[in-house]
Amino acid sequence: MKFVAQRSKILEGLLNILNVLPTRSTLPILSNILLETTEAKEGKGAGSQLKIAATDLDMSMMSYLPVAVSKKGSITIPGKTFVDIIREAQEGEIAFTATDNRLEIKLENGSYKIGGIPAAEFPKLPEVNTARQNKVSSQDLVRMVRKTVFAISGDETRPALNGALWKAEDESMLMVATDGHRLAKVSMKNKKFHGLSGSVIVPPKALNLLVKLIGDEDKDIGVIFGDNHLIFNLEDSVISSRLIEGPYPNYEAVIPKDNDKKLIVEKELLASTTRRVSILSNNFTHQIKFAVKKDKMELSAANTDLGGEARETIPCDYDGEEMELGFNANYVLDILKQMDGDKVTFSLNTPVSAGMIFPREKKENEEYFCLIMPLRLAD
Amino acid sequence: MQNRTILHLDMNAFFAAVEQRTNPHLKGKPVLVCGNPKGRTVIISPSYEARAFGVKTGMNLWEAKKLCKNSILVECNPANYVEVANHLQKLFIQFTPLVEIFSIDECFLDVSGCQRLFGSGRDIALKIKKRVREELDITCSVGIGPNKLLAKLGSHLKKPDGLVIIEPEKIQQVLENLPIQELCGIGPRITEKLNKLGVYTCGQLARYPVEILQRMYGIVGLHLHDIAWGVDDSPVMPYDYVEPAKSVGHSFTLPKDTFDREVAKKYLLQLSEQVARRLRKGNYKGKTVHLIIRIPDFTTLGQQVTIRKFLDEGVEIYHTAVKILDKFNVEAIGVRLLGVSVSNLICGSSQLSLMPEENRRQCLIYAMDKINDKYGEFSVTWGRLVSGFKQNNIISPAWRPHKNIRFGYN
Repeated sequence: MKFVAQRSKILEGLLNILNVLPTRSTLPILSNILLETTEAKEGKGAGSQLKIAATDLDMSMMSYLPVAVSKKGSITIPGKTFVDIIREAQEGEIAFTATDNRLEIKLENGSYKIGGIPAAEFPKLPEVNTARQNKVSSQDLVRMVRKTVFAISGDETRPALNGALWKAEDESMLMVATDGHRLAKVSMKNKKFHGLSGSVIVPPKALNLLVKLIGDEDKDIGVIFGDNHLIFNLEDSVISSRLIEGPYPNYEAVIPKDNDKKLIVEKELLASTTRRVSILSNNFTHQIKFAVKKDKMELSAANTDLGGEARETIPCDYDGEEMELGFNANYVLDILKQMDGDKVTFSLNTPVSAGMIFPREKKENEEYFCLIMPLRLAD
Repeated sequence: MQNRTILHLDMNAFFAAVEQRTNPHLKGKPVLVCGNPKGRTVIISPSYEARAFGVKTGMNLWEAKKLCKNSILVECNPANYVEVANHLQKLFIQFTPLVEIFSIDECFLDVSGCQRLFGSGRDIALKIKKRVREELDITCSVGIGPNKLLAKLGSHLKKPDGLVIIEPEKIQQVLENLPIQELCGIGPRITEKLNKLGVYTCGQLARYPVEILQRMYGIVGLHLHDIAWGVDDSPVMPYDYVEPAKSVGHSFTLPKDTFDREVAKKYLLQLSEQVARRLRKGNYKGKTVHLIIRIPDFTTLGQQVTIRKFLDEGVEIYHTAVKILDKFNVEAIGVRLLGVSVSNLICGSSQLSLMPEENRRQCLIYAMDKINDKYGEFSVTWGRLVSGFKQNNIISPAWRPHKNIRFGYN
């Protein structure tokens, strides 16, 4: 294998791939990055390109880079070392030659050689079957992920909650995540999802990587719901992720129907006060108390280890009887961060039942809310 | 830490003395307080009249009976002892708030700051002794010293009804020929090891090169060196101070040895419930479960498991403990005693769950706790524990008056 590439181009691709490369692995091959010359994909300019790929067996990523290939071939090489060399290289064209399981990197003033493992030993990566692919707006997808991914559970004793439920049907799509203490649900309708249909549980790692790669870019991306894999086709790269086995718990059942007390409060004010007061909350529970009254609410916290306590009162608009609720401040802050508009609405019932939080500002064709379960306050 | 005056109060034959006070017929007679005399039990507290015959705490009933034929067996009444201990605490804190309850019948008082009010350490000790005798009709030994170590040593030197003052200038004199095992903090194992090095007295220990002690015992080695010199800077904690728990556990000696796994599991469920209940009372959750099995020949086996989740529910602790129990061949080795403890604790979680099933369980346990708070432990419990429920009527060394934990379950 022989090719020449611009340093900045190949480095950009490698840095993305690094997100997938496992930092520690029992299988040596997984610490390696696959380099393989391939023919350009359909629709792209003529000529050959370089495929680079990494996998941790749960998730894999392939990127396609335009390079000048003079001899076809493939090799896998230790990912971190390779990236370190390219990162430290001077800008310019770099020539790569792979022979006998070694890769030679020719820089301006000299050459580097690293040993590799034959590409045949690299795990087989899922193939993109474009016939099964559906197009989804990248910004719709990113928005849904951002609004829910924080609520995904890290508790490995309940694997189904270790991912977000993504359901698509006809013209509507929804995403739900919960860790059993809070839940976030976003749904969109009247959108063109080009026939994407199905229900999958996606691990957060793939969703976070997707958001990172897309950022604010608005384009259509290909999505394939496989039997146990999900594929995102971003033209110049492909992410595939193992799906989490269901069933996802019946989240509909936990959405309260009889929350009749409404609390409306300035979002930024509530968030900044919560952040401040929670400095003196218990380090583990992060418990913060909301004492809500008709036109004002008191936020308070206490940390017995520090002998500290904090109290602040802010205006609000509340239509129920006075109540004291305990919440994990971090949960409240996570939720507020995702709410659009200046104000949020809490829909409450009792101090021991789930509260619902809605943005005051609604986006067209979108519905978003979060549930938060309180902490039981000491008698 | 300069010029402190610390009192150590040790109630003499506390349980037996309380029994003699409660039942005047027992006065002046050799009384042996034990667990359930019908089950297997040991002497928990012999009265001084019985001690005269050589009966000691921890002896078997038949051993004690052999030594002292006329002794009177009394089953222990923890409620009585707790009542008297609470009375004692109320009495002590009238002198100083720095009352550290060391166990149900022992405590430290730091009277450094109240001598203008109540007189010297000796005066205070005499006042306390007088009031204890008058109000409760029991006696105590008092040690007075510049720190807890020497105060405890003092009360130990003269029993019963003693009063020993260890003046700072006499520390060396007192310690020089004192056997090391007399010091609080030096147990049989360390004693044996030090004896092998030719160290028998505190004087010898004090002169022993501290570097070698440190190499042998690490930080403990430095501590050994300090206490041999009579140095102890540990403060007397106020009576309402609750030390954060490191672990919560219970153990239980079965009424008779069992080789039946199901029987062992039943006791395990009971112990797990007791542990869970105490975890919840202290607002703790833990993720390491430790199981101890003592087999009929008194060999103690144990294993611990750390799981991903923090637990405070009896059933969850039980399932984890059963997993450990399953590693042992109960049918072959037999079980005499079982112990369950939970460590790796975090404090203060009362996060409710969104999930209906889990939420229902949380509510159920909350309601059960409320009922058991009001009507006593195990008023409401699992069906499996209803029949043949047994409790060990013993107060643990960890007993503290302000923890508001009911007697019999510590």
